[in-house]
Amino acid sequence: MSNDMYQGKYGSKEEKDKAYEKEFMHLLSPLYNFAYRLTLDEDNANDLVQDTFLKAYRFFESYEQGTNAKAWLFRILKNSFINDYRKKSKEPNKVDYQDVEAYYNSDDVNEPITSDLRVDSIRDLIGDEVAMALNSLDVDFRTIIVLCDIEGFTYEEMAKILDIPIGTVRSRLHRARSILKDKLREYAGQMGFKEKTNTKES
Amino acid sequence: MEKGLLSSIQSLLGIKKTPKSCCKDCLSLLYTVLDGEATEDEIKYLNEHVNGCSPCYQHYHIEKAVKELVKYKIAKKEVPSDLINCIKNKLNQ
Repeated sequence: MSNDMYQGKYGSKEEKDKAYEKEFMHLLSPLYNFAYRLTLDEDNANDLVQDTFLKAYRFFESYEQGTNAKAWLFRILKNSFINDYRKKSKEPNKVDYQDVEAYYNSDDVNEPITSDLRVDSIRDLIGDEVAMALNSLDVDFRTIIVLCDIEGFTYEEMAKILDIPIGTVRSRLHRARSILKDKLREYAGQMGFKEKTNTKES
Repeated sequence: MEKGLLSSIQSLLGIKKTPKSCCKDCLSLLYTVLDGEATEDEIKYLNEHVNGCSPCYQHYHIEKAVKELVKYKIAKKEVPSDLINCIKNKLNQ
């Protein structure tokens, strides 16, 4: 778009571009990391982030400066992922998370007893094991853990990013953590057979 | 303390016990606290409860360790060096 054609609320295209860069460009790293955790593929993450920034630019007139830029961009990225990437991304044994949620919400399922998972053995896990455990979760469970535990979004922000009620944020987080603990327990159990000190990352 | 001893003995014997109703309610409360979403009263209640209830004490520290593990141990992916220029070029098209 050339400068004299610009008719938005920023006065000129330069001013719009300046405001846009100031609001969003410092969020490139968390966005790229989020994209990677969703797609589990560097090229797809790259494309997804580019799409997100283009869409953010297109809708920038409707964005109110100084509001929650990070949550706004994360929401765009998540929607792009669902619309464009989810079908083609590798999701082995894809399950419908609503089924999973319904299953875990039923009263038949008791909380897993965590007495065999010890704080020491959790702390001895290395980053790669934790990443593998996280990556093995269904994408909706993976997403909620990333948003909450890595990015530190509030429940309210997560509800907006994911377009779900806060109650669902809580229950999904609950299920996601329960499954993650099962996976971590597997890794912690495997470690028990090895010489712990040799596999520990300093 | 008595509860702690009892639970140690039970876990040594491989007996899986847990006061389920207590721990199930506490689990969602302790997530609320660990996620920074709890009120002061809820934090106070949980702290007092956890100090007197061995399974909840254990739960609390496990959940806290898992949350810290995810936050601090998973390596950040480095942003590809040309990504920012790709975006800027596309925006100027």
